[in-house]
Amino acid sequence: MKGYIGEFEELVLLTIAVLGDDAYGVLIKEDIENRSNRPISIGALHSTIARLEEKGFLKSFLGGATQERGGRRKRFYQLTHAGKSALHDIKNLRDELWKKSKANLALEL
Amino acid sequence: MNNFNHQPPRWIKRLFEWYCSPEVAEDLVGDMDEIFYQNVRSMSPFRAKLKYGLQSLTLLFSYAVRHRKKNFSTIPDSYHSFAMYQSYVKIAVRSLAKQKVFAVINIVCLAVGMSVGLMALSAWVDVLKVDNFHSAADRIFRITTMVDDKSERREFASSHAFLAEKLRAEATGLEEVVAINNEFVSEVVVSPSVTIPFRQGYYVTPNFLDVFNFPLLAGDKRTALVKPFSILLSQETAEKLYRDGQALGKVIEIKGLGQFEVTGIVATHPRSHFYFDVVTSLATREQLEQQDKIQRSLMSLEPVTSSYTYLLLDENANGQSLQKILKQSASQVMHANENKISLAYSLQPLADIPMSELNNEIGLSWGYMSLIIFFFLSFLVLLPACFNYANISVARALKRAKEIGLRKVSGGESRHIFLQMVMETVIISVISLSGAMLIFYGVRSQFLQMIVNGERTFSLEVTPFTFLIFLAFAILTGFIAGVIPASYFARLNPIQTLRNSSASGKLSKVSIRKGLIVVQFALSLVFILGVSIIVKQYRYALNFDHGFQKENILDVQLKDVNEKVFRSEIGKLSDVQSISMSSSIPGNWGASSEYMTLSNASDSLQIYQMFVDEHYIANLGITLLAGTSFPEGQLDEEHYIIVNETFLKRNSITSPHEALGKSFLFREKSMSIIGVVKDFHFLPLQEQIYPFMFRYNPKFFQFANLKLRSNDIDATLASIEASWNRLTEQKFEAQFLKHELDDSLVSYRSMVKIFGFLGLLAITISSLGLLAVVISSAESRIREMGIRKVFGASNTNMVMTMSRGFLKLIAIAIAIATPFTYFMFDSFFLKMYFYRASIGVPEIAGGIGFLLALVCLIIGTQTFRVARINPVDTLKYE
Repeated sequence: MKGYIGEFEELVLLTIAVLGDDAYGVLIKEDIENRSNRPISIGALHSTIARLEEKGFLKSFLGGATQERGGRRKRFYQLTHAGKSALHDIKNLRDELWKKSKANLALEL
Repeated sequence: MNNFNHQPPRWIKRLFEWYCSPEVAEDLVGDMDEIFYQNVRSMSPFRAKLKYGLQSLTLLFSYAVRHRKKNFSTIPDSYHSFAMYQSYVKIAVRSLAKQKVFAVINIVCLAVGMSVGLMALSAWVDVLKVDNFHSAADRIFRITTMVDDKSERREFASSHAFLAEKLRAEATGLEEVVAINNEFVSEVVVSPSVTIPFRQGYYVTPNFLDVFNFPLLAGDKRTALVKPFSILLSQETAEKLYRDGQALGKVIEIKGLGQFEVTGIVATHPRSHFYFDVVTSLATREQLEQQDKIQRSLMSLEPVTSSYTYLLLDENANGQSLQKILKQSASQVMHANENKISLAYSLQPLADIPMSELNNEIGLSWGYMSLIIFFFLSFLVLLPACFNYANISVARALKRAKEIGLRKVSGGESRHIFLQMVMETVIISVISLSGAMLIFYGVRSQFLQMIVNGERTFSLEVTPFTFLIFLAFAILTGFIAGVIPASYFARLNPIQTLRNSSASGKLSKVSIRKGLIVVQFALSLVFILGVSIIVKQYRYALNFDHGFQKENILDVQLKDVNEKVFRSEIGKLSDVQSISMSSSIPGNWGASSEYMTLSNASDSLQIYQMFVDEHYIANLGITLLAGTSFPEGQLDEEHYIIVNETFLKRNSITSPHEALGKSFLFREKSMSIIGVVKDFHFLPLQEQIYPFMFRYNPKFFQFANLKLRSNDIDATLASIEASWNRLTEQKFEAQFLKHELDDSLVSYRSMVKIFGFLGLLAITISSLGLLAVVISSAESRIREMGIRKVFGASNTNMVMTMSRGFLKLIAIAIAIATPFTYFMFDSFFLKMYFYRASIGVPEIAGGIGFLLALVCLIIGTQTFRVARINPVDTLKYE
């Protein structure tokens, strides 16, 4: 497995996967904020994205000009193959751990 | 929908894009904008903007931006990175450390050059702050009067008293009208024998304190001026009258005016153009006029009055009705003056008052001319310092040319090198700022003492605000000084610099540098010669023979003592040789003048006069050419005059003896000449000797002139004062004639100080500049000198070879400066003095000698140092 993925990085990668072709900064931020119910700063988000790009899990391209951003283009993100396989790897690891620890993790109701 | 009424803060966006470069940040800025427009819909615009700022801050320092910038760094436009500036600073510090001598010379030069500028700047800041503590300062105006009496147009700060009443009744758009009269000058009677005079008092309308926010230490500002005969004291005055300053509610007596109740104490306040010790109401003045205690002048329509009118305009006033009333009133006054003058009122904003130079100013005035002269002087000192820097840097170019060449070869662009060089200069000038401030602190108090009212008009304090201005000034200076060398370096051709073609260090074709040295030394010489000429004139005036005796004459103010009583009482003292009486002090401006029609001419002649007694001429040792002094004993009526030689010349009387007994009709009285004295200087030396006469009239005696013969002046003075105290309760005030005359020369002393200080600065700057140029020129000729020495040149020989070029320049400077100074002083400065010392060879030779000695010291030490070096070492050089 190449590269270690942190919790927030995993969240970002998965959200990009969920958003599909529409994944760009603001939408990713909103999606994460809505689902996880925690405010995140745009600086933190872009830093994480930059790291993920550096690790080769993400690739990006600029979209067309948009009116609502004063003509500024959006940068869209896509998972690379390495990104997908890294997600798979971590999911496998989790599944394995869950399976083995089920007896101890039962919530007491 | 999107709310486009609110935009994200532009400056944040600019800053962000500048830092990241637009190409890198496009999508990030887009993201931020989008979030902002969303936020604006759900929260207040202010919070949205705040959020925008916070977000841009988190992004600015985020890994995302750093990462992107790193990957973008191949783009040529990313030169404004922080690292670049860091490297500039580092290089600057290193190159300063490498050339310590030159760094020190540069820093000292710039510090000296900037010091006068700092003074001018802080004076300017002081003027800006005058009267800015009134809450409605921007709506306060003063009515000024332009009077044109056909021969002269003059603008007065005063205006007519009736205006206030009229404007209050008729004009619209006025919130308040404040009328002030500044004739309230008298003394506070503390006890029957002790009075304390106050310098300036105002009669004002009660709204004075509403419009002008002078803080009250005690008292209620709403009621303080309502009742007649209530008075406000300044804190200073209150402390003078009562040691604890607790004056509120006390009743004080003002000499000749009556009892006043103290209703408030005005605290020491920020600088204002008003200047008062006491304030009372105009209603008080009206009552005083009715009681005939003061002259009626309030409703006067004379062209010039002692009344002042200030207006507080409404927030949205338009001046139309105001202008109309002012025009009407002006024609009213013109009519009252039989249309001999034309007169116009205008409005002057409060903020413009300190810088304006009007006649009849109500309090303090600053004046723009003095500030302009001040700034011009500081410019005159700063400019040579800046040129010096440029000169030295370019002279040192050889040392740095290789560095620049290498930078250029490895991709440095001209503007990078320009920026680096300017940065270096700015760093030096900011370091010099500390030195300049040291000089500033050193001379500040001296400077304040030199100007009239200095302590009151200027503080020259360094507040954080002035410090910021100083800093901006230093940076600007650095920029100006750095532009020439920086653009020189930026233009350098790397191929030539790297080919090691060494430019000659001789002062050959660099004509600008030559010219600069000439100008600097010419300027220094002007100052040196100026000081020596003024000192000579000062000495001349100090030892001038006025035609009367100055030594051992004590002038005592008679005050309320009868001169006969004085004579009999003081005459008993053994140390007092003789006593005479006079109306004024000779050699001062005290002599009054009268006009007198001559028998043989239709013109009237202005004749200066002094009233003296029969002992005066002998007592002061004035030479009597013919006739006698006034006859002994009292005369009921004036019969005789004693005149001077000039009087005879004007009346075409040839010999003194011929004049005796001649009568002149004077104010319908016939007076005959009883004596003729030799011309003596009854006016200061600025003036020539005019026709003059002594008259005898005890009514006008103000001074007793005691001739003393004593070995112990202090004891004599004490005994005179003791006798005086038996005669009256008044204070004993006396001064030696010699001291009095010397004191009138105080203007020379401050002129010597100013010239001396500026001369010192100019000499320092030009000497340091010369030193640097000589050092660098000598260093670059080390090998040449080595070869000369091998061929047998002697040390003196080589010193001469190296110095010749510089000495020529100094000679040119002397040739320019000497006639210039001579002309300037002979035809302008000394014109102010009718009796003056001639400018002689000794002063000029002395000044030139001093300059030459200095120059030879600078050049000699450096060239001799190079000449002495062992040629074995120098030829091994490199």
